[in-house]
Parts: sequence; C-alpha cells; structure tokens
Amino acid sequence: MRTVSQPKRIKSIVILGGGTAGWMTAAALSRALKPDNIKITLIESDKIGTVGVGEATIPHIRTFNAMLGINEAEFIKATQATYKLGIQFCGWGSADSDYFHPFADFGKSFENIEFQSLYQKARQAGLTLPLDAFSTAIAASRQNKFCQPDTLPVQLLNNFSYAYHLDATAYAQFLRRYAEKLGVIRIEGQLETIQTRLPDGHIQALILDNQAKVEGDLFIDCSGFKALLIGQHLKVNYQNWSHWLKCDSAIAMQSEQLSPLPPYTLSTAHGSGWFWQIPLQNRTGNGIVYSRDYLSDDAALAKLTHQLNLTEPNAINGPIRFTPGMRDQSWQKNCIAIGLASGFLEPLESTSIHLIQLSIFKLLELLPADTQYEAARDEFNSLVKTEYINVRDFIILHYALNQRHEDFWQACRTMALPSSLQTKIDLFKTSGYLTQKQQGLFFKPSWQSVLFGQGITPKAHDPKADKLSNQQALDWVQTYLSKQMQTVDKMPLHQDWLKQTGVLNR
Amino acid sequence: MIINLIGNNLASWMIAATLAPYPQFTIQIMGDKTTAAYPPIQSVLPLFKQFLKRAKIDEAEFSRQVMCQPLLANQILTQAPNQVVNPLTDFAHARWFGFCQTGAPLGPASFAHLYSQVAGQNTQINEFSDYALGTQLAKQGQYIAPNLNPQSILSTYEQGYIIEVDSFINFLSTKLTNTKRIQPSNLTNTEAACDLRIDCRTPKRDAASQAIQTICWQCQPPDTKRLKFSKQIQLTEHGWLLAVKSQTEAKQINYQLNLSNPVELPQADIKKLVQLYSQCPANNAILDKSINLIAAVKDTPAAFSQNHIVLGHDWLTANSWAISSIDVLSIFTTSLLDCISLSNTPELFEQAFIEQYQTKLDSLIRYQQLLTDALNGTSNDTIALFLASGRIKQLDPDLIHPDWSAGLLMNLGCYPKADSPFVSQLSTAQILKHLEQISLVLQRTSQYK
Ligand SMILES: Cc1cc2nc3c(=O)[nH]c(=O)nc-3n(C[C@H](O)[C@H](O)[C@H](O)COP(=O)(O)OP(=O)(O)OC[C@H]3O[C@@H](n4cnc5c(N)ncnc54)[C@H](O)[C@@H]3O)c2cc1C
Repeated sequence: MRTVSQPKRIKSIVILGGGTAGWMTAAALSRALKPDNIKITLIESDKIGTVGVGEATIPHIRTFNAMLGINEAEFIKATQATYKLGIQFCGWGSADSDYFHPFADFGKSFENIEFQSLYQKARQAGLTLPLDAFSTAIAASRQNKFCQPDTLPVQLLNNFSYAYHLDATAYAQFLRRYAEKLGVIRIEGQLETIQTRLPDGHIQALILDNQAKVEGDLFIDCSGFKALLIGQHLKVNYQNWSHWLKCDSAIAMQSEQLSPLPPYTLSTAHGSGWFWQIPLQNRTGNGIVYSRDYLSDDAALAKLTHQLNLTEPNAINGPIRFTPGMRDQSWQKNCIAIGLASGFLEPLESTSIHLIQLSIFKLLELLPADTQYEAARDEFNSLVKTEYINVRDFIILHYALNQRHEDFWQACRTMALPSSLQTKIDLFKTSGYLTQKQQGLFFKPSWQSVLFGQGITPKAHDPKADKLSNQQALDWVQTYLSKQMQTVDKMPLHQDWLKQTGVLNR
Repeated sequence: MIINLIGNNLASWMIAATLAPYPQFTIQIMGDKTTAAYPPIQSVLPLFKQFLKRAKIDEAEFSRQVMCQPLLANQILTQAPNQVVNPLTDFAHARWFGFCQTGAPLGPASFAHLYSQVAGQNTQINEFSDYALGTQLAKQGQYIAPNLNPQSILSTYEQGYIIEVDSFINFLSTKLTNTKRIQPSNLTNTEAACDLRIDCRTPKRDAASQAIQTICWQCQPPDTKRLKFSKQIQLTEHGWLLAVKSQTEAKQINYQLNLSNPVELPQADIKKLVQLYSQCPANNAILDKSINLIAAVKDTPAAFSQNHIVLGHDWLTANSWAISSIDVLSIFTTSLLDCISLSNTPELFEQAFIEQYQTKLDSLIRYQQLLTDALNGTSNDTIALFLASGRIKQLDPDLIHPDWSAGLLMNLGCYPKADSPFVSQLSTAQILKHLEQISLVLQRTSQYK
C-alpha cells in the first residue's frame, strides 16, 4: 500500500548560507513573519566565507530596501555605497565603441510616436549624435553628476532612475543585524549530512560539523555555487548555457577610490571577455571576466593588473569559476534555491541581486501554510525560469552584436542564438520594431541602448513618424537636448551630492 | 501609404480610427454600410481606453456623443434548480465583480486571505465585493470617475463602457472626415493600388454556427435602477441571459438570451421565454443567429498573405458574456498600430503581429474561461493556484489585472486556503478592525459624492 504523507504545517524555515542571498532572504522573511509563528534559522560558516563579489545593482534593490523599511542614508553609509545611473560599455560592438545603458528612457515621445523613430528621422535630416546623447542619466554620468530625480525642480527633466554600488559583504552584515534583531537565529557551522524524511524524500534536518542538528519544514538553499541542497543532495539538473555565454572565470581586485567619483559602472571589453569597475566610497571594485578557452588565469591576472595601472596584484579574489545557467527547478520538494545555488548569469548587467530579490518576492507571495504546495511551487519555478531566460537573452545580445576580430569575439558573433533573441534582432534590424514584454526586466530603452550602442541601425523607421518631416523631428530632438542640458547644469557632482546629503563616510 | 479596408462595418471604422491620427496614411473604406451591428449593445472592458488613446479620441467627447454608459461592475445571478429568478427584483443571488482592487492588504497578508480567514468563522462581515469601491458604487447605482493618482482611492478601480454599436460607428464615421469611402462599383481599380489591404468582412458561416441562436429583445420593466453602471448576466436553464442598458437614464433594457441548446423555436416559445425572463411582453423580440465570440476568434484566426490581412472573425454576430467584439477589435487595432512599421516585410509583420494580437487575445479568453470554470465549479491552473496561495497566475501579457481575477473568484465563492502563514499571525479582532476601517473609508468616499 502506498503511504500518503499528511501535509505538515510550516513552523520552521532553515536557510543554508549567509551570503547576500542568505541574508536578503532572512531579512525579508523576518520582516514578514513573526518568530513565534514561524521560526527562521540561518546556518553559515565563517570558515567557508562568501563569494565576496556582487557590488553593482539595478534600481529594483530600492524596492527591496523599502519593503524592509530601511533608511536610505543609513544603508548608504553602512555599505560604503555610491549612486549608479547606468553602465558604460567600452569596446563592446567595435573595439573603439563607447555607449551607456542608463536606468532611463531616451528622449521624449511626440504624441503617439516613439522617440526612437523621431531620432531615426532626425538623423536623416543631418543629426550625427548617437542615441545615448538623449538621456539625462547619461549626460549626467558623463559629467560625474548626480542628484535624486525627485529633488529636481518640476520644469526640468526627472526621467531617470538610480541604483547603488555597494560593498556586498557590508550589505550582508547590515542585513544580518536587521534580521537578527527581528528574531532570526544564526548558527555557525558547516553542513555535513542531510537527513531526509520517508516516504517523500523531503529534507528533514541538516547535521553540522559540530554535530548540531537543525530541523526544519522548509529549507532555503543559499549555499552559493556548491548548491548543497538543491544540486548535490536533490540532484536537480543544471542547464548549462555556456555555448552562449562563453566566459567561465573571474578575478576580482580592489584599488583606490576614484576621484571624481563616477555615478556609473564601467564595463570594458578585452580580447577574451571584459573588465568591470565599480566605484565605492572607500575603494574601487575591479575585476576581469574571461573564458579559459581563450585566456589563461595567469594572463588574466596580468591583464587586470595592467588595466589598473598597478605594478603588482592587490587584494585578489579568485579565480572564481562559474558555469552560466540555471536549475531546471529552483523549488524542488521542500527546498527552494535562491542566489548562486539557483543559477548564475555573469554580472554584465548587475542582475544577480535582482534575481535573488525576485525569488524572495515570489516566495513571499506564494509562501505556503503547509507542505501541500504543488501549485505554488510550479508557479514559482515558472516565474523564476522566465526571468532567467529574459536576462540571459539580453546578456547574450552584448556578445552576439560585436564587430571585433579576436577569436573569442568571432566565436560569439557566429554562434547560433536562442530563436527568440534572433527574431528580436531581425525585427529590429529590418524596421526598428522591438517586441515588448509587460513584465520582467529590460524594457525597450535597455534593448535600444545595446542595439544602437553596438552598431545596429534599423533599415526603416516606424511610418507613423512620417507625420512629422525630418526637419521637424530634428527640431523636436534638439529641443529635448537643450532641456536636458539645462537639467544637467543644475545637478551637482556625484561626490558633492553624497557630501551634501550627509552620507559620505570620509 | 495607402491602406484599404474592405467592408464598411465596426471593424473597419475602428481600424480607420486608430490610423487616422497619422495624416500620411490614406485610409479607404470600401463597400456599402452593412446592416445593423450585432449585438446592438456591447459592453467593453477597460482596455477600450487604450483604443481611445491610440485613436486620439477624447474620452469625454466619446461619452458625450456616443450612446453609452460607464461600466463599473458585472452582476451574475445564479439560480437554484427549478427556480426562476427575476433579474430585476431578486438580488439575493447577485454576485458582483468589477475591474477593481478589493480591500487592502495588511502587511504581507493579502486581502483575499484576510477575508477568507474571517469569512470561515461565522463572523458577520459584508460581502467581498462591498470592500471594493468600484463594485460598491455600481451596487448603489452611483458613479464617480476613476482616476490615475495612485494616492487616491479612486485609482482602485477602472471602468469599461456599455456602448450602442450603431451610435459608435456613426460617431467614428462623422469624426473621420479624411477617411475615404469607396463604393463597391469602383472597388477593383482602387484596390489594386494599395500598400496594405485589410479585409474586415465577415466570413460566411458554416452549418454548425448556423445552429447557435440568440434571442434579442428590448423592453421596459418597472424598475431599471439596478442596471446603472453595471451589466447583468443570468445563468438560466435555457442558456445565459445578458441584460444591459445603453444609457443610465434609458428606460429600455436590452436582453440577449444565448440558448445553450440550439433549436429552431416557434414564435410562441420565444414569446414565452421573453415573458419569463423579462416579465414584460416582447414588443420587439428578434430571433438572431449568432456565434460564440471565443469560438469565432479561435476557429477563424486572422490570416496573412503579402500585404493582405484577412480578419477572419465573425465580427458582426459574435457574442460572449465576458468580452465583446469591440474588445477584440481594440486589441487588433492597437497591435496593428504597433507592428505597422513591419508592413513592408510581410513575414516579419505576420510573426510580430500574430504574437502580439494572439497572446493578448488569449488573455481575454482566459478571463472568460475563468468565469466559466468558477461558475461550473471546474478547476484550472489559475483556480488551483488561487485556492492554494491566494495568488493569480502571472502570465505575460495579461490584459486582465490580477485583482480583477481575484475579485471574480472570491465573489463566486472560490476562497483561498484560510491558514496563510501571514494571516495566522493576526488575531480575528485585528482582521475585523481592518475590514471595518476599509468599509468606513469606502462609505465616506461614496457619501462624499
Ligand atoms: C565575478 C562575479 C561578479 C559578480 N558581480 C555582481 C554584481 O555586480 N552584481 C550582482 O548583482 N551580482 C553579482 N554577482 C553575483 C553575486 O555575487 C551573487 O549573486 C551574490 O553574492 C549571492 O551569492 P550567494 O549568497 O548565493 O552565495 P555566496 O556568497 O557564495 O554564499 C554562500 C554561503 O553559503 C555558505 N556555505 C557554503 N557551504 C557551506 C557549508 N558546507 N556549510 C555551511 N555553510 C556553507 C557560505 O559560508 C556562504 O555564507 C557576481 C558574481 C561573480 C561570480
């Protein structure tokens, strides 16, 4: 006779891992649940430590912090954070190309005609500026200026958003203090064995190296790349996307803080991958991402050191190995993987913390009362997968659209793309048309910035725009430009803004 | 760019309206005006606003000039077996749902969960729909225009419309002075020289669709107050019955009885049905043959070849209780406008257009299915997830706001499992207080009017 297990009320949630994913999850759960209702325990091992990178974010993190009720100034000071208006991409496309992906729209539409079409028409009337000249966020970035959009007078342009650069370790510590205050129990120790429950194979308890036994009803796997519960124990398959995303290693290195302080992340392509530069208040986070098929670890380290104008390497973390991809299911039995345990996409668009946050929000929405959660699990898995695929396609786009001649880049240019992405590029090339999702990350302006930035000029523009002559379109975009200049003129330097608002630690 | 619209009907006028703001498009409507539109009165979802916006039609002008009234909610009357409900007086069984957010969450606990928790405890609380401003106004026959300011309680609901189709077509044809009308005799010559041709004609119906029948009639019952700002759907033993008024102060009610068992009815039987359901003599009952709108859009999808689109759908005679031809056309026209830049490359146009149009259409079809399944007590993925977690399945695109679907399910008695982890940490007294506060705010708002 088959035994049917009774649904069990969820009284205890155990989080394995205390990196960014672990502490973000613990903080969010402790905000929503009272400890006498559901007990939350987090296990981490100081001996193992965290991945120690992950410093650039996207604007969604502000929603997360707001949900926790975190004071922005306190958060900025505690994490040595600076503001971020977007990412500058140098050497992507062609070796000398340079464009920005801002957290903002481009220009302003005219009636029902999108700015992109007006821009295309203005070019026919002689405009030579690139599309990214028409973004307040970019214009401010190029002058190292920043202020919060809602502080600008109404007659100026406040059509941009912002995120942060932060010290990931400090952020995890900040969230740890927050979560512990709300009753999360932290246990120091290394996982040794896993006890399962019969007959359903659910995880029952984690046994640590100090023999402590931590029992729970729901287990959140935040153990990083090792994926101790979802991968090693439950054997959920990992979809490998390295045929599209060829980089598999990174080395991080710190350097002095920058002055003037840029309000953007810098991503510079090199012969077999790219470098990142993330400005914090007290230092700069740098790194090299590369493919070992094209560059050895030693050569990568030398390249990074040279890029930073250092005589020898400084405060190195790495090489960090990774395989781009994701789990077939992030939620399997009573285990939910969040963070690197669930999947990894390289940090080109600073999306990992966002993917952690998405999983946490969806978990909170769907959190079951008992172990009968099949419908919630399926919905969670489907939403997480959809978002990973959206982000994946957008990152592949950066690699696919290049005109560089190194072997690595040629391989990227000639690889077969996911069909959804190929269609999107074809549609854009022919007509400037961009398919648009209603949900998820990366709306039209993001795609426009990379497509135009990496050298694709659509063959045609939207015929609706022919309501205006080319000259009228040119006048429209130039009027916008002068308003944008007035706006940026009024903005202070990023550094000064941090000082004025009392959040600069120095 | 010359765009020819073949057929002179609702579809062609709505397409012409969305293209009209762009004087560089020459729009030609070809053919004689077809006979009266059917169903003569249609209710449209809030997505109609998108159509107005794209067509640059001022909403105030539209509601002044077209015979219409705002639609805030739907009422569903279900009846016990063998019991005839008088749709105008018997409201014991009316269930209301609209286009609104109901109540407000308390911390991480959703309102649906909070309500389910106390509803199961024999506590005296109002109906779920009473915690939504949009439905509450409709119940009281009141109207306050919704607005977009997220700080305002008036942003918690949206409105659709109930529209008299002939008046809508007249409005569009009067407004679109630049749209050329070409008589059928001149058709072939003019047709040859166009860049895009859209065939809006209704295809000939096959034998199966002939069998489906609708009876339409108008009458003037004594109390018509209850049909202000709402439409009424009644499930009867003969099929579903729709009652609407084209204007708030109109005395006439328009009925549509869609027979579930298609048979040829003698006049005497029709009269009996009319009498039974409207309790007034059938002064102008029309027996009409119509087809199911959902079946129509599924079975006869839009088709493409080169610069030629065939709408394919049976626009003029299709009906459904949740969505209308105007809703489907709103999606068609806005998708067309979005993809028009691809019209020079037919394969790409087809690919992009179909993706947009079909996926949006699917979301309307899911809405209708949700209603049907909830009424029949049948489960589907959305209902199973809602019962388990109080959440609505997230799909992209979805033109139906999750709050509307949750409201529909709750008001039809599909409650999520009561013991949500967030609700169980609240006491009944806390939840009841929260509900009371919401009631107070809603009361104040509707009184303020
Ligand atoms: C090179 C690189 C650059 C990145 N840059 C960005 C960026 O700019 N922006 C962004 O959003 N993301 C970035 N990311 C991703 C980001 O770093 C991660 O998403 C984030 O740090 C979350 O990691 P995690 O918490 O899942 O894993 P980890 O930080 O690895 O944490 C794992 C935890 O599990 C614990 N653990 C492991 N094994 C055991 C055991 N046996 N017993 C007990 N505990 C154990 C560890 O102690 C640790 O606490 C980057 C990633 C890489 C590799």
